[in-house]
Amino acid sequence: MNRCFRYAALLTLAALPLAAQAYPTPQQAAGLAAPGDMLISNATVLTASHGRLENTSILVRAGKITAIGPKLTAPAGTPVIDGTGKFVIPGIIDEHSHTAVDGGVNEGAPSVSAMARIKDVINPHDINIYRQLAGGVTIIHIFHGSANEIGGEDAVVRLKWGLPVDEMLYPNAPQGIKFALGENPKQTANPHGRYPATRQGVDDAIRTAFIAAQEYKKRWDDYHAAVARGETVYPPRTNLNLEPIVGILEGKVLVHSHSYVSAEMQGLIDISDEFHFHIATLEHCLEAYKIVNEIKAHNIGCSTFADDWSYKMEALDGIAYNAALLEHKGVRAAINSDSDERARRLYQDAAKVIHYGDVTEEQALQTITLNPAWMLGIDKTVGSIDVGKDADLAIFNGDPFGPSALVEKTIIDGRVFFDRAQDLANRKPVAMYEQLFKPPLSLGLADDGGGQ
Amino acid sequence: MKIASALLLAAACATAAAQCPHNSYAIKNATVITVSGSRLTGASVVMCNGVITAVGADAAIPADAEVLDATGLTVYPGFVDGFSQYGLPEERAAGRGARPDGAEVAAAQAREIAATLDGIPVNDPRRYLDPQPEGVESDRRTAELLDPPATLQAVRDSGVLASLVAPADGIFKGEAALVNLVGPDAPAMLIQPRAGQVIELRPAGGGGDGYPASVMGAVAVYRQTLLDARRLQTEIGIYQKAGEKGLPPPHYDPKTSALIPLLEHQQAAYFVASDWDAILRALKLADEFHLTTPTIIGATEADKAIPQLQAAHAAVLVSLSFAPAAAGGGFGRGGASPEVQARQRQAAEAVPAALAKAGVTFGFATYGMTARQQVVEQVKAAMRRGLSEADAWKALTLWPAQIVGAGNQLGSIETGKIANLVVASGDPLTGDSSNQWIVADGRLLPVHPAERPARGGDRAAGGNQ
Repeated sequence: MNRCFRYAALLTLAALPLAAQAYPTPQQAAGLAAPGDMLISNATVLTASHGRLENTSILVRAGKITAIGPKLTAPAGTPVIDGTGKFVIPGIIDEHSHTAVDGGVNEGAPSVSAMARIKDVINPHDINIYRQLAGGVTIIHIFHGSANEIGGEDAVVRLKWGLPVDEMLYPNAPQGIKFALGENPKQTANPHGRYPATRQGVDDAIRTAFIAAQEYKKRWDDYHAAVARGETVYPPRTNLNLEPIVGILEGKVLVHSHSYVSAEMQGLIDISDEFHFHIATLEHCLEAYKIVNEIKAHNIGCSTFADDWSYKMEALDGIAYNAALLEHKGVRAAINSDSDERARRLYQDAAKVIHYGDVTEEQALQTITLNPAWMLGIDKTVGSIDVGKDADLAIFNGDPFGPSALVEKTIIDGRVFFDRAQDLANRKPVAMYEQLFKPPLSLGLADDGGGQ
Repeated sequence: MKIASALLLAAACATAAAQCPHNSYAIKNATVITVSGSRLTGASVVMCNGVITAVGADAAIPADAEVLDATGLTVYPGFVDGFSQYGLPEERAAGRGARPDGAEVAAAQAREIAATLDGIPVNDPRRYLDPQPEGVESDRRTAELLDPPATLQAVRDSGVLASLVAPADGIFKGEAALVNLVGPDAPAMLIQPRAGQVIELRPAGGGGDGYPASVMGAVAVYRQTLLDARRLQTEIGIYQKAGEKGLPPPHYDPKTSALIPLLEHQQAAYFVASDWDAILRALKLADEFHLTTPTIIGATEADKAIPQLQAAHAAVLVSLSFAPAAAGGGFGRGGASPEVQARQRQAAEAVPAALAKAGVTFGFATYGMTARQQVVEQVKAAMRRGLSEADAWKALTLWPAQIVGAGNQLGSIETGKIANLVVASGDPLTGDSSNQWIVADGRLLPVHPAERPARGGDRAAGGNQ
């Protein structure tokens, strides 16, 4: 016991500096809560909307971009970041993420789990939030998993590390929902003893859900009509699993569907025509290049990987030219991570789109900024460097599409949420901490800790 | 044990007198830690019919009372356990700790699938558009499940004499009961049979294949179930307004009916939530349905949620396990290295002091502890991390009593309170000490020598998980 406590005291001493810097203190967080002012001077600005601007300054007031131009001045007291030699891009938006979800990303038991809500289970203390900030990411689109034909409701989250969840949710972002087609939903059928287990069954379950939602909506409409007529009636039962589907039918909830094979994407497009709803995004969509015209005609975005395919049967026909082919045809493409780790280097994945498909620098940048913003319905306020938009920015040490690019600062609402210089300074205590935990000490602790 | 207490009871009855015809006890010459007031020396505690009738150096001891001379001994109020499964049969108490092995799970699944295939076709839309949840046990009443096992003696010997009890499993775990941990039978144990609803926003099967299988699914089940209860409430209102005619009677589903007292603020809401995010989630979801100020059970990281706990005026029942949040639960935080676990444990030990400093109402609970004899040891760990002795006493007795709505009945040595006392040698929280006698519900019981607190005590017998 004594030995345990001696080590414990040592651990406390070692852990304190690390813990203090790994997660902002309430005081630090308070300083980040309100939108900020700043001037970034004399940088190379990749706007994602109107090209590359050299020797340009960006003025930020109360979290919004208020001026872009050469030699801007700021009122006295405004923090100034010298952008000489630096590149500034809009904050990166990861359109497909499962980061910071507590207690499972799939509610896999029923094949329709629209009642599940990612917003209920966001863990704002997940270290991956900080790591993704270090990759210039400012917004992530957190999805329910792909085990269900119709999965749960999503969350559009700004990576305001240190602040509570409510302050991380992007204000007024339309509600979205996750659909999934193909192998993932049908292979989840067996362990749960659930229907469906085939691609045609997946389509049937989705169609059935929409018919049920129509009937459900009618029950409520009839009820309201009866009440208006002065009748005494009981209200129908609220079914949280159908409410979001009614929202889709009413155009209030955006559909983002996990999909691989062109035929199944076409199948969902047909269902959307049948029930008159709009598909916001096809996720992954590795075979989207095969049905570009149909996708374009339905004004659907495609959120895909740069060059990742053949990791399962339905991914065999993926190609590295998918995003570029879509862009060339006028379909908006996004490059997403679907990964805690890849999210930190999305700018490199965007660079690959130039490498493989000869898109412009601006088109490549849009795949990780303006296009995902459009897919999420927030492109009017964020996603490019334009006057009036949110000051969500990433400052790189050089060209973000170059091989040695590093993020120096990540800014949300005019506040610096990641600063590489600060981070490097904080790594010293980590080294000290690692010294303390060489194997002999760990073994001693394990022996003693077990007797507690 | 039962025979011993029966003999004592008989002895007491034999000496009973007119003043207190059933039984009267007195403890004299003791150091009395009253908790509600100052520490008394050379004092007596007089009890009649299980209730304290006098306390103090000058308390008159009835001539017919059975007297224990406690010279050199200390008397303190029995601990009030904020949450446990004591008094429940093992299978009810098991909860998430005891998981069936893989083969049992597979067999159960096969049976379940076969059964549902027989009943509702697998492709019936009801199965995926309105899935039937597991873990909604809101109509389960702890008071009806109590079956005092012999192992309660070991609990009492550790000083815990009353507890808020409900089964450990489920999202809606059912109606809790406040119980005295002494028989002879279930009715005799009950202090408050309807003590609130206990809720935990985790999948009922700990992540099995039933619905829900995730925390967000559990939240959805919570929300849907309370919406159903609210609808029943609405139906009842409409039916009554219509003069109970012209409409079919409302559908009184037992599980939703049982939650109406919660919605109408007639019943307390307890949320089992250990880690930081789970606590914040519980507070938010209690607020979503305007439930009575919730009490958080477990609360291993409550110190991080102090502003939100204060804003909600929420009370906290801190688990004395000080176990890392969700350890072994397999939900996001499992598998931490020994170093990380040690750090989490230290942080948890510091939580009571932090809550006391911030003025958050809290008490202790043995919920989650694997060795019930370690209660005092665990409290001493919290004291080493800054919890004052006075606050430690209160957090073991008066504060949890107040939190569970029994501030007038339990938690201190005062006239009128239930006679739950422990007589110990030495000073229980600051020195070497061992419990000698227990007075449970007014009955004097010896501490069983074999069950005395000992380091590395009997884990098998002590396990409530």
